Amino acid sequence: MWFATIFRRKSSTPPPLFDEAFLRRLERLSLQAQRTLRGTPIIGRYPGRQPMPATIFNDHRPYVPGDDPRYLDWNVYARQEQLLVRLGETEQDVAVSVILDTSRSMAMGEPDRLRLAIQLSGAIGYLALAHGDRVSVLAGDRPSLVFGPARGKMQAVKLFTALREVTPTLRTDLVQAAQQIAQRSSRGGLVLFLSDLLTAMPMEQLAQILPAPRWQVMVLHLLSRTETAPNLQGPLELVDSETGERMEADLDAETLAAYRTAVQNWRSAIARHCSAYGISYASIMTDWVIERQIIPFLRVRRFLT
Amino acid sequence: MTLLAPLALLSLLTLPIIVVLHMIQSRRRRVEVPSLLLWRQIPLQATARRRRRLRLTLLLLLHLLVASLIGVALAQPEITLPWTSARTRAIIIDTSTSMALVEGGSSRLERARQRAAVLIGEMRGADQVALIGAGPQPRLIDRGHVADSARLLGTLTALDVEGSGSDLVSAFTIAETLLLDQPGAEIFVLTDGALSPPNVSNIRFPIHIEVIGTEQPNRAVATLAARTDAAQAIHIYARLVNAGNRLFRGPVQLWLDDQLQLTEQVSMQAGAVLELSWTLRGPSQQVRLELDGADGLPLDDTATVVVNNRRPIRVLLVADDSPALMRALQAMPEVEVTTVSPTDYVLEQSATVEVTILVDTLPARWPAGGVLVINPPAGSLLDVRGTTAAVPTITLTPAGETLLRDINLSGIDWGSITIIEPPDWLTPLAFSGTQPLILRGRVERSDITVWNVDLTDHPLTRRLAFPLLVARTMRSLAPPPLPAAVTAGETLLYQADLRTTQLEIIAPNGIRDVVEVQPALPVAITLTQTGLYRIREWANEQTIHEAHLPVNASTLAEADPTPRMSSTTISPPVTSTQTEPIATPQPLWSWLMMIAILILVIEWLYIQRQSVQEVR
Repeated sequence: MWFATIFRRKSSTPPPLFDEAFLRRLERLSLQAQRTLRGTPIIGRYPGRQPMPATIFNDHRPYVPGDDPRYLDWNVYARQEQLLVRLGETEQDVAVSVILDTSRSMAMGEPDRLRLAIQLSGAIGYLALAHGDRVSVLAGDRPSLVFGPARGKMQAVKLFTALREVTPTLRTDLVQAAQQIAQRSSRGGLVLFLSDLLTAMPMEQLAQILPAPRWQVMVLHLLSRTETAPNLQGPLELVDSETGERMEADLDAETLAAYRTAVQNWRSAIARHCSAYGISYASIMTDWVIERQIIPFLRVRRFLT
Repeated sequence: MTLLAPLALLSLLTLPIIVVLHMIQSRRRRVEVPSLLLWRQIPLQATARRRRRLRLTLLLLLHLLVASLIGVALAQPEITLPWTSARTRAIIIDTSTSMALVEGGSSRLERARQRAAVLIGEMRGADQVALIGAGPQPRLIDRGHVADSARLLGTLTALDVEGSGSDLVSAFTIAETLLLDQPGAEIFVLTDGALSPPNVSNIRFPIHIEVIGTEQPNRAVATLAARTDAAQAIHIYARLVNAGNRLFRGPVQLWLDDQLQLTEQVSMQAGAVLELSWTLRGPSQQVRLELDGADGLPLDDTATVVVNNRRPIRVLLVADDSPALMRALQAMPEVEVTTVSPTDYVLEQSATVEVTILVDTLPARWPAGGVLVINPPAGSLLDVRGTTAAVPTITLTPAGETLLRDINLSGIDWGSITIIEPPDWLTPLAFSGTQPLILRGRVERSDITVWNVDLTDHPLTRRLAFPLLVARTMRSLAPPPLPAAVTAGETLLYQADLRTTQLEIIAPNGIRDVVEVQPALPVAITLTQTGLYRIREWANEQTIHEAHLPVNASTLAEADPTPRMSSTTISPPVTSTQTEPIATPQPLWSWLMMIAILILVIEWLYIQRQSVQEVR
């Protein structure tokens, strides 16, 4: 019957995070990891900081017992009778940790900021898995691992499944998340924060917990038009979505202009602090399209190559 | 504007309450923002502490408007608008025979119907109209408002000529009764004016008389009568009318029992009445006279009469030997006597006769129909207390005057008479001294006459008074005969046989009507169609009598269809206060409530829109 389906509830299955074509295009990119990071040699694609015995070499060092005899430079030994080992650049993997802010403020506004954060987490996680990196994702009220650590492109499905199940929480303690990352891996790695930064996150403390050069910290600041240019007017009682605190305000053009100035100063201060502590920072508007606007923007900001 | 419930205006006290509630509720609109982190950085304190005052928001205005509308609606206001004046029209349509006259391709009644339809179509708003038929028996046909127009027009279409004569005075009375206390009342009379102008001086409403029709010639059979004599010859008398202004020559045909008997050429001067008579050989039941009037009203060119409409009286004589009574009965031409011995008599035999005569006997129950009891025996239905010697002088009671008037019962030696203790339903008609001699009464479906005298070799039987007494008694116990003919529109009080339970009336057009008959109560039959009606009396499933009754259209008064009045408007006396159209107050509460509901819907949409904006 033509009317048999009119009362049927629409499926609540959320749309997929990405389509396959986008993921294939995404594989051409890679995270801009610093050479100073320490990873597991040979496995990854990122150039390591330490020269290692290699077939394609650019230096020598004296042989010490225990070195692999395959890398002895027999030509030099023939000429100079010295046992030298060929040293060259080797590639390594990187531990990529994504810290996802799931606080209530992330769930506000249109389009959904949390969904954009999940999509970006998925894209970056897939990129890292595709390049053989170890990927971990932390999220939640008291941040915990929702994915990883895992390596390999085959884990992408699990990653996306885990991200789909992420729901908004009251707040997210990003500093605690950073501490967890630091405790889990002593070798360091690349840490990516996706947050609206509306909770206090002292960059100084972050730099102490995740010091360079072992750690490379990136902050993607997700901004909504609701914050930058709120469509509010008149006498209002503003309620903080996370704390429930209230504040009375009579909003007029003057007040809103002052607010916009405050937002600008706030963003500048965050960028300044990030720069001061060696943290990569990029602010992204939630109404940007991922592939056409966000990805090119991150390439320009050297988050991706 | 008037308020039917002004006290309800007290509900407007809710207005200040709404204002106060709005002041209380005029808290700041609550908006959830992601964080107050940024809002705390702007100088808000100065504006936030502004003195709170009532703000004239759209919501407050809508609330006040809705409360005001509901408050005023509760007071039930009524407004009088000039265009809401209601008119009430009584349309009196002449339905006399002359309205059937065809001129210009349509009958006068048809044109009256069309005019009435126009008047109904002019109804607006709260107007109402009443249709009154002004035939010989004026009646309210229908009444209704604008919404009933279709029904009124349907009723109008079914309206037909209702008989000879038009009782306009009674029609005006009906109209006046209906229009009493009605606003903007007026009376329209649609008539051909073929009657004397009515006296309308005491009618309080404006009267518009619209005469439909022009002067037309008409020839009619105004009167037809017939009787038979002892030799079965039929003597016929007819009166023809030429209601035109020219000499008329035309044929007249005389029919007996649907057999053409003769055709005559008659010649009538303008406005003349021609009387004709014929004697024809009988016997025959019906006489019909047809005049080829060559006019627009063929309805009155024919007349029919029944020559002898006396109904036969079948008598069952239950007696061993009663020669005097038998002779008296046989002397009556319409009486058919059947004799049965008291020992052979059974009650069912009385079902087929009009009158049962019980001589010196009484059954266990009273037979239906007419019953004559002569010398009732003791120990029967009647309480017989023996006999006594009669006194010579007979005293008539007032009830007995009708039956015994002019019958000379003096000088008769009555001998001994039976003494009975009469029941309540039996009324003495004549006394012999203090003892009732003749009694009459009705019980259930029996009409009973009691003679407390033994007729065996009685001096009464040798007197002339005896056959007269028998004949009057028989005719009073039997149903009365029908008239030879009636005029269309006349109401006939039909007295059926006492045994009759149902009366079947078949009109000339074949329409059958069945009427339940109560014992001894006449049935009023209004005969509106011209032609031959058939009337059947039914006793349960058995036909006990069938009669034909001709209905003729014309009367001498209605033979001339020339309008004798003109279209005019007669205004009522100046003192009347009911003539001006009165504007009907229109109740406003429903409109106010509808507006209030509409505003509530708008408010709901406004709030929804605000909510959506807040979410964004």
